[in-house]
Amino acid sequence: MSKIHEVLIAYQQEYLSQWCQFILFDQKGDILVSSNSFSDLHSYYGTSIYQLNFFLESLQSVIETLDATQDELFFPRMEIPFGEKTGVFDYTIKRIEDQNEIYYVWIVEDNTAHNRYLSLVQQERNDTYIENELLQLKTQNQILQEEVEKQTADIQEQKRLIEKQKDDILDSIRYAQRIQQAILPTDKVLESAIFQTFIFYMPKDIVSGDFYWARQVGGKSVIAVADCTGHGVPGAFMSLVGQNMLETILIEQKIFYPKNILESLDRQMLQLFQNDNRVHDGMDITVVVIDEEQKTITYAGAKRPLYFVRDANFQEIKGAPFAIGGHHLVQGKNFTEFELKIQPNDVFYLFSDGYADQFGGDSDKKFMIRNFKNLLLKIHHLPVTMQQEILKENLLAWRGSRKQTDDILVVGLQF
Amino acid sequence: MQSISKKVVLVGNFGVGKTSLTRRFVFQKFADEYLTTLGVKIDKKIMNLPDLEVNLIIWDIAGEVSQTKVPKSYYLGANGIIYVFDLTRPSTFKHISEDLDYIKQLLPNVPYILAGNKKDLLSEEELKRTISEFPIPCEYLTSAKTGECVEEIFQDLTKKMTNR
Ligand SMILES: Nc1nc2c(ncn2[C@@H]2O[C@H](COP(=O)(O)OP(=O)(O)OP(=O)(O)O)[C@@H](O)[C@H]2O)c(=O)[nH]1
Ligand SMILES: [Mg+2]
Repeated sequence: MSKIHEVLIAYQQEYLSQWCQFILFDQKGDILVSSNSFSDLHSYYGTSIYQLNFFLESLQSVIETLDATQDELFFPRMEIPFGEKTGVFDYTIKRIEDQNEIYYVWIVEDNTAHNRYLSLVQQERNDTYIENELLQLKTQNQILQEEVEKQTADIQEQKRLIEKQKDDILDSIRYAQRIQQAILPTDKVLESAIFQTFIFYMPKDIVSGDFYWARQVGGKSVIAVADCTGHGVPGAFMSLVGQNMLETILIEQKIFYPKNILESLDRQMLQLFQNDNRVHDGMDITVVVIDEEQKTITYAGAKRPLYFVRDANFQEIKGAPFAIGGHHLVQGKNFTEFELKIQPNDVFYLFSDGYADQFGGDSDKKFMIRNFKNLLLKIHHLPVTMQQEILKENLLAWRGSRKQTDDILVVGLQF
Repeated sequence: MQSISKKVVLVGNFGVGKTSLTRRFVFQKFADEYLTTLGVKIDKKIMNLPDLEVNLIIWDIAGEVSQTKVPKSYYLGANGIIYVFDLTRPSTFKHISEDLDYIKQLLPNVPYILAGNKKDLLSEEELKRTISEFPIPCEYLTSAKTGECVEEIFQDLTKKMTNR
């Protein structure tokens, strides 16, 4: 024990200049002696220091590994009250070997005054650092926010512009529709004819590439149903061209034979576009001329047939396999015409391909020519207004919520 | 019942809420005022597992921008690490990977937990954006202020430290 006292005195001298307490304990952790400067540990002599103090408790395994090569541990700035004394302490734990016995001394230095200054500096540094960082983030976010707001405003402006353009375009197309409708013949044209007429006309877009045309000259009625390539605006332009040409053929050239009408149409159409080989547009057309005196109907078609029902029998006359206009390549198109004697109750149908091509039904398929023919056969005997109504209802039911596939036009002539 | 002691060290940048998480866990208290930790504060709390009493000795140490600046002696004998960062300050989670590499090298095989703190200060939207900026996935988003997920991080770490 006298040796231990010598060691203690040696350490006491070393730390004399500072205010410190040291505690000596053995390998088990039992407190042997203490300088008791801040806290009187007399009553704890002989008890385990590891049970007395959290700090040492959490380091027991580390303390036990100290040896001759690594015999000291230093823990600066421990903010743990020591006994009754609060403050900031520096801890040193040192291993001492004496006459084959191992002891540990725990030195608690009170550096509160010095650390109070350090603490102020650190607080100031941290506060400033955090404040600056948060400010910088806020500014960045603000810039980002402004950027987003500006972009949103730009997008909205663009959207507004596009919507306005769309409205303008739609307005002009709607106006074009009025022109197109004004040009289409009215019911009055065939009012005095010897047959009843229905016209089921349903453009896919506002304006249409399908058109019908009718004139009564002398005792003859000329009726045409045409389907121009394309729909919408280009189709509508083509339909204007077509109607104009028919007008010229009939009124100026006074041609009343469907075959000749088609040939003249084809010539004019090819002439019209001869300077621009980018335009390959043309039209499919059915033309009939009805001679009321002779009770005949003469038909010619370019890729469009004529259907008729006579004595409840469905009949079909096929047209030529080429269109009017279109590719310049087809030379010497030969259109054929057919003349039939009209019999009482005959019903003739002129139409574009839009009705049969409409997609719909349970499995989203075309309505098909076969079904179209069956439908016409089923309704041919009904009054024309009713036929028109049934055609419309059937089409809407078939189509369901789908879009219209193409322009639709069906004209019926009932004798 | 068997009783053991485990040293847990809370590390991370300064001001992220290490002291606040400890206060919330040990004393169920919270303060808005920021008083930086100069060195180490130590608190103890007993965690009861079904068959084991664990004395958690929690070392709440002074935050540093980089963990390499922390006195090495603070890490000695640590059984578990909680790496805390501040969800409102990206600078506090930018270097998680480097810090963790350093800690793993000092304390091989010691379990650790990541805690993104101050969740209460972020809106859902901001939180989503912040999470997308994490350099590595983080399992716990905590709030020392509301207490959200505080008990959980200590519980999870205790389980990991005792292999339960
Ligand atoms: N709103 C909110 N504030 C918090 C939360 N946690 C901590 N704070 C605040 O953040 C500041 C810093 O908290 P501390 O717990 O002192 O941070 P620390 O990590 O111990 O900081 P150092 O000791 O300097 O390393 C204080 O003002 C706290 O009130 C939290 O979950 N929500
Ligand atoms: Mg702190």
